[in-house]
Amino acid sequence: LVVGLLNLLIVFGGVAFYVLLERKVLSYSQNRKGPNKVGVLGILQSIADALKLLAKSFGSLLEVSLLEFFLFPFFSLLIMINFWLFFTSFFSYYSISLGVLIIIVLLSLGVYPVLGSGWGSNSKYSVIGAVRGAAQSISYEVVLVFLLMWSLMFLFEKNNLVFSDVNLGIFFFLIFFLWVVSILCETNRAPFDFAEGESELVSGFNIEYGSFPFTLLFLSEYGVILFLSVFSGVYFFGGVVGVFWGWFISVIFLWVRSSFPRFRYDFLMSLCWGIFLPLTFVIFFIPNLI
Amino acid sequence: MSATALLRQASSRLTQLALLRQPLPAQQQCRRGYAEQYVADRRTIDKQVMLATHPDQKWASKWEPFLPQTGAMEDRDKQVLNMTINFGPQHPAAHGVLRLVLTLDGETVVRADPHIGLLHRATEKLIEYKTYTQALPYFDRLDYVSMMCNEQCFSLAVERLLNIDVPPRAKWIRVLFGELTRIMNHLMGIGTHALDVGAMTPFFWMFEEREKMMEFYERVSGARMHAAYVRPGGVDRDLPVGLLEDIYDWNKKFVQRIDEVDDLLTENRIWVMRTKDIGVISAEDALNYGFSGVMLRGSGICWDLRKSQPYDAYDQVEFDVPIGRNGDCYDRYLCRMEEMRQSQKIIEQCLNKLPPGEVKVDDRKIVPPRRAELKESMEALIHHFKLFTEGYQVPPGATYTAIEAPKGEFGVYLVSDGGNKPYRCKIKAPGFSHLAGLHKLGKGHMLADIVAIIGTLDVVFGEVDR
Repeated sequence: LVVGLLNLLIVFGGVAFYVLLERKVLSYSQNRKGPNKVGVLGILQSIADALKLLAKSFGSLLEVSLLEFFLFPFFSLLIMINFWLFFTSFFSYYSISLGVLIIIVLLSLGVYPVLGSGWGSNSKYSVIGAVRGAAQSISYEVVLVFLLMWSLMFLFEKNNLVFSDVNLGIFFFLIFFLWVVSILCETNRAPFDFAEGESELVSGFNIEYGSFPFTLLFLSEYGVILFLSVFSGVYFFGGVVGVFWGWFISVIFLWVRSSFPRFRYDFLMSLCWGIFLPLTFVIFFIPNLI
Repeated sequence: MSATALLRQASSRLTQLALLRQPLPAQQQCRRGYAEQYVADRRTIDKQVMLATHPDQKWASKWEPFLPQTGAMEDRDKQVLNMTINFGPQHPAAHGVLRLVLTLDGETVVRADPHIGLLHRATEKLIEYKTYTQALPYFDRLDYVSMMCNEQCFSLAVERLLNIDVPPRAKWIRVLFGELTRIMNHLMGIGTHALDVGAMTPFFWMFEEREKMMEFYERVSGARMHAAYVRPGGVDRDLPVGLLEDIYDWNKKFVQRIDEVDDLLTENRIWVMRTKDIGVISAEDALNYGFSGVMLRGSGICWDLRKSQPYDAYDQVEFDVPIGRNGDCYDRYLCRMEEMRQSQKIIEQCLNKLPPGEVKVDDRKIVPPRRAELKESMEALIHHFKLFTEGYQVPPGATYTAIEAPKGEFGVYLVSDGGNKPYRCKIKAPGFSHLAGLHKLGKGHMLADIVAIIGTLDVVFGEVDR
């Protein structure tokens, strides 16, 4: 129990500083310095932000349905916590395939908070944002599952199919690239951030959220991002080195956000169902045929 | 705490929750199924209450309370209506105060209805009560991202009515600052367009360049943005020492800045995907809808007022005018980028060819004398006094003068009755006609494309609403 709590504490700290890192990275790419007044180099900025958000009073709640409004941010936080708890435990207790399964399940569950909080805000913009975000997440879950399967093929050999490592290994970088892009899509992030789509929907599904639920939503979003990047690092590169790769991937998240314009929603969907999925099928089944 | 106390607390909380779940009073009942029956919202209830409690007020009688009619709601749940969104006045992408009522079918726009007037400041009416010098700062504030161009148009109109010609140095200074202003405007236009489409980085880079240019404005006139510098009769005062060297330094390095933004956006597949074949307008339609400037040139019409009706030393400057082909957002973006490069070349030529001389017309009845002369010459004192209290008289006449403002054709229709105040000053703003074509451009596109289209129209509400 204590280890779990310590784990969570570290995760929350990591998320707080990740937010700060994001602001710094974005600013430096935009030829300006990020927040550098609060701490030595702006290190205490996250703490100041957290204090401000918690101390802020909440706006009006006239037209929201209370149950969904408050339930779903807590739910998303719960999912994020579960991600991290099962991560460390699957290192030591569970077998790898079971751990991956839990990751997939939690990803799928992650759709509900987006939908619920958008709907519960009782505003047209939120609903659009929520629906877009949810559809995006569930589409890319399929792609993610197949990409994960590819790696698992290395571990499990079927009786009547013989794989040679060369056949599978050629596609490593392609799979990794597809994986990173799919992670971006899954978390509604960077060039695919329609659920928040700032310019179009003024903050999409979290328009009506004030201080405290907003904090929860964003903690959970950034927590999932950090988790998925660390998980990708470990999964694809293995071991302790993998954690460093994980940090590198999380920086890639931020870098990509500052570099590219946003996709359009239908392009995203056609990218998933028209390009990624056939590609993953091809990669998945070609070694079987050979 | 004892166990019983805990239980009591828990049960009281549960009953509170249960109370919350009870049906609410009649008028707020079915919050969930609100599409199926009418539910009075708080505003309507307040209105009704006010009506009931203020029976004697005149305004109360003009309100008609909306009473739900029984039986009128039976067909409601069978109708599937298109969703009407208020792309409201407070919107990061609405470029000022634009209330755009969009009717959407899913994500496709069926109708786009811009409601303007939220920034109406009665500029034209106010100008009628001010002398010509006092009216000049209004023009700064019309298109508030390209200030000196508007002033240039007004000054040209007044000079045409006064029938005077400004000295060559003033003309070249006007061209120099006009092109600087053009670059400023395009930086803002492309920057905000990119920001709306999602690329946040070029915005910051471009605004850094704008800051440098605002420093030039400040050195020349004293104000970073609304410099009342270009006046009828020439320019307010001569350039300070050292300004031209700094402009040259900046100009040299500016090409690299444009190249940086080019690298980030022009070949970017995502950008091309977002802007190609979006907001296409044919040349014929563009002319019919009253577009001007880049909107016309993006569709292939070769029309630039600097070439067809040159004013103010533009006939002595060599530059090219980029023309697009398809009339979509991508072509207009490319036109604007290329215009920035051409403006940079014009500035270089201005710096080389700027002649020495005066910057104001000699006529002391129009242009005030220098402050130093006030201490010596009685006539200068009298002229100064008369000009700043009564202002100069402009001979009767009417003129429509237009310039190639960065956004399009900015025109001033000035009617004078011989007095010191304009009789009528009608301002033709390019953004007004461009915004009116939003429905034509945006119909059939998706919500995200509307944002891109507003960005490419380059509207600024100061001039649309005046």
